[in-house]
Amino acid sequence: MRARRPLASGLLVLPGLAFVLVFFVYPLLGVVLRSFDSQGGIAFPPSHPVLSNYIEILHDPAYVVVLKNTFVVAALATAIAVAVAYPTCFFMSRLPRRWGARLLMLALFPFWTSILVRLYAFTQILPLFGVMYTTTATVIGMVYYLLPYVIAVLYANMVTIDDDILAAAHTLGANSVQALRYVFVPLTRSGVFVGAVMAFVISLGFFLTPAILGAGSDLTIATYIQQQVNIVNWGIASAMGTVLIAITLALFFFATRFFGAGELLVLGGTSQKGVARAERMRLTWPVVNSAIVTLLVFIFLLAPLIVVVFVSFTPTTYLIFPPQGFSLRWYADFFNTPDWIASGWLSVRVGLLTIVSATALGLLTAIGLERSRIRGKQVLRAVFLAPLIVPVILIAVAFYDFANRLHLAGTLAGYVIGHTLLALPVTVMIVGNALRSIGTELEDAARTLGASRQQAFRMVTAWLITPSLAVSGIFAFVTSWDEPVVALFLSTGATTLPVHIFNYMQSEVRPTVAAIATMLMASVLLISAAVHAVGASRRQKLGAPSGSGQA
Amino acid sequence: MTRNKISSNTQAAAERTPSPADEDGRLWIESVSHTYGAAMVLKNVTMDIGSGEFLTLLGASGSGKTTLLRIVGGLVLPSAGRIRVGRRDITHLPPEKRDIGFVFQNYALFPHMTVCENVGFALKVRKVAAGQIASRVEDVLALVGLSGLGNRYPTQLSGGQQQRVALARAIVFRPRVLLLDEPLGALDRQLRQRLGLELRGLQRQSGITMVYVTHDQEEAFTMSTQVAVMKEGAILQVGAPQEIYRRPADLFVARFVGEVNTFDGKVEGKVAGGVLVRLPEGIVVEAVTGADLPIGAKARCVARPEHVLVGRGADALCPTLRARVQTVIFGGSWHRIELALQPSGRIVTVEGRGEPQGIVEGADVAITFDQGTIVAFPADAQEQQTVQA
Repeated sequence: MRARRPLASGLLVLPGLAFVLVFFVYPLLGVVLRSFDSQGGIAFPPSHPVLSNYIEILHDPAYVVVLKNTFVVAALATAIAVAVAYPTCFFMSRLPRRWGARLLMLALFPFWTSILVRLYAFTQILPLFGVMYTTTATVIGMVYYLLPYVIAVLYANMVTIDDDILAAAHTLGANSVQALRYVFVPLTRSGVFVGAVMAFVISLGFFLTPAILGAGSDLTIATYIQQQVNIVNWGIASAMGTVLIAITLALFFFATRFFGAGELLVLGGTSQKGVARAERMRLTWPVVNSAIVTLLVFIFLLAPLIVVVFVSFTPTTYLIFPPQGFSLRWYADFFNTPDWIASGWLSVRVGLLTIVSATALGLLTAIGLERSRIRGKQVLRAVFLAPLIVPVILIAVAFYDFANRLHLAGTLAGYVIGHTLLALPVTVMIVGNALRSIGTELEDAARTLGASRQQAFRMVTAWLITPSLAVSGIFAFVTSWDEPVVALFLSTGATTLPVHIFNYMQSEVRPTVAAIATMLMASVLLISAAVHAVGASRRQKLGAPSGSGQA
Repeated sequence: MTRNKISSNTQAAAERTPSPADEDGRLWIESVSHTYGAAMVLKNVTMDIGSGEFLTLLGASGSGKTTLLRIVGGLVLPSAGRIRVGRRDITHLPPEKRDIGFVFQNYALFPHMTVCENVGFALKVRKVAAGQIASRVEDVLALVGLSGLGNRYPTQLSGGQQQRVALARAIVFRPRVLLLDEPLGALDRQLRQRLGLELRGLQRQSGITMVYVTHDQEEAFTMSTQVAVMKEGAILQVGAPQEIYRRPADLFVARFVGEVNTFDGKVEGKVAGGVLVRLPEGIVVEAVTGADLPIGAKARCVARPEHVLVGRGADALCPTLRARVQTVIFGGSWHRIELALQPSGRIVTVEGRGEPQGIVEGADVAITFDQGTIVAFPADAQEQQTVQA
């Protein structure tokens, strides 16, 4: 009985695996094959692989400039993001847990806001400082995009450093600078490294930010690939893409080689008593300075979004500060324009279908990975996570190439498949973590009480993973709803809302986008409030402590 | 609140080598209060702990003992009151300027440093020369029995070894005062006892003033020269372990430091240092008391199980209570008998050494009490809750 079980569960990974292999691995392979064909064509097996595309890249100074530009800008943005996130996270992690968590939610708000909303905000603000359409603008936009990621990673790392560790350093005679230098900073090295590698890899793949904010001459690998695809120069585009994949994978390999997950563990990471955290912070120089940086970072993170809200209510067609009166005309403009409504409706449908497909595939895959003893789990996990690591521009190009041949481009199915591909790694991860933390003990208990395997799963585990399924569904929807890059390539016919916004921003200056952006942000707030309320009522039902500190 | 002057006259203190500047290790806690939000966790605590004492703060969780310790260590700034060590007022000094050792409950070892680096940390930040650091670290590691493990990382050590590192790290810079926050709490019972004895030996030899926090009564008694029982942010009683045990200040202390049998009665007369109490079973017992118990007042008497004597009928001492043996438990070096008083049926527990001689379940016996061991408290005082151990 027990021996049969793992294999049967293991079969559940097959649908997800087939999906990833067909719509992700195979198209990417196509890109790699094209890069070795002198005409950029595709043939299985390649008739006579040549390196002409790569040689062309190396010999043309323009390509070298693109490569260098990409790396310099990525390194700069990464360095700035880590440098300002570090003191911010230091301050947040020394606050009482509850306040730290609240600030983290606030820091992640831009992350939940559509990338186009953020970029739109900068198109409104940066001209005021005279840096629009410059490399500086690109870097600012990238830092803005990277900060939530880096803050999340660094905060997660720093919050595990118990206050008692620093208190111990103080009782041993270390002043606040020595305690930071000898204890805190060494303990955050791995967090900084992980955050920096992640930020750098994301930076390499930036496409929309340089395209919208940057100077026309500021080509990055990603914008360059898009240009080449547009002029059907597949050979060069594929070679560039292959280089980008190779660099990304090498960075990831290098990063996981150097730091295992164990590095992030810190002894005594649990503070057992409320005493330490409830205590007022000592106002040492590091604390004061980091508090100032934190304030500035939060102004930087939130001010652009607030500006967008102001712009949306302005009666004029361009931004004037302070706004001249109050008007809802841009909201009316949205609802009276059939094009906007059509693209919004398409996005809703794509998003809802993505919820279904990504959550269903994610659930099956997660059960298969967590509840079976099939071999090669590590490899399978890596395959399922790969769409998160490979730069989106490449997924978009590869899938576009594939979808074109299947005549899926511009269809509802095409959008849903593309977005499911991007959402699947996240849903697998969320549901997998939930299954792992629930464990099999409760299911075993149900079975000793006479429940069949299916009953045990349905009556115990299914109920317990429902919240995680809901969360993964939300992630799937947001992933799809916000996704501009894959959709941009696929948009031969009807466009999704983000693509429509992107196109609109390229041609129009009317603040209709601000009205849409404001509505999008409001919906994010509403959804998160609803999630919070549902979670709270569920916890109440279970009689679990609400987690909001001591009585 | 009365000032609790603590200076020991126990034998242990006499063994200690007197230091020339003995006042340096004296710790004064003066009218310290502390609030977290609306909750007052320390209420006007005053103590004067003599140099070289081993004082244990004993109390249930939430009694404020850890907060008091953290205030002394400088990790918490008190809402009111002063802390002095020797002649220095350290109330507003940051912890790094206090020269007070602190052993944390979960050790708070630096996970990225080896044992040597952990122990040498205090000397490194004091800019002691590297060579000297090495030799002092080696000495203190030898003292705690960790020679040869200097290059390990904390995660490579057992719980007991980690505890020793934490101790070594806290004493390497020769503080005059060492604070320990339930340092043995995470260890199993046997190891706890062994390390406790070692710590006691170390303290008696070095003459370092130690303040130790625990909720374990046995640990407090076996290690300390002085015990302070805390409840709800206040100190109920300070004294040598024997004093606390034999003459508890109130019913809470009596129950917190050991098991008691309680008897409610009425005061019938007075004797030097005590009262005569008539129990409902009819007999009159003599009880010591610190409280002012007028004749006619209700009194609650407590007697510890080992102070209850069991005889067989007529050969028992007077005055006696009649009881029937319900349960006899043999525990090796000790035994324990549960008796039901006749005719009330109330349960009395008796404990004794060795085997219970000739006492069998169901037998009728007579019981009485060791002279001078019963303590009486006013019964109309608020009924104290039983303590969670």
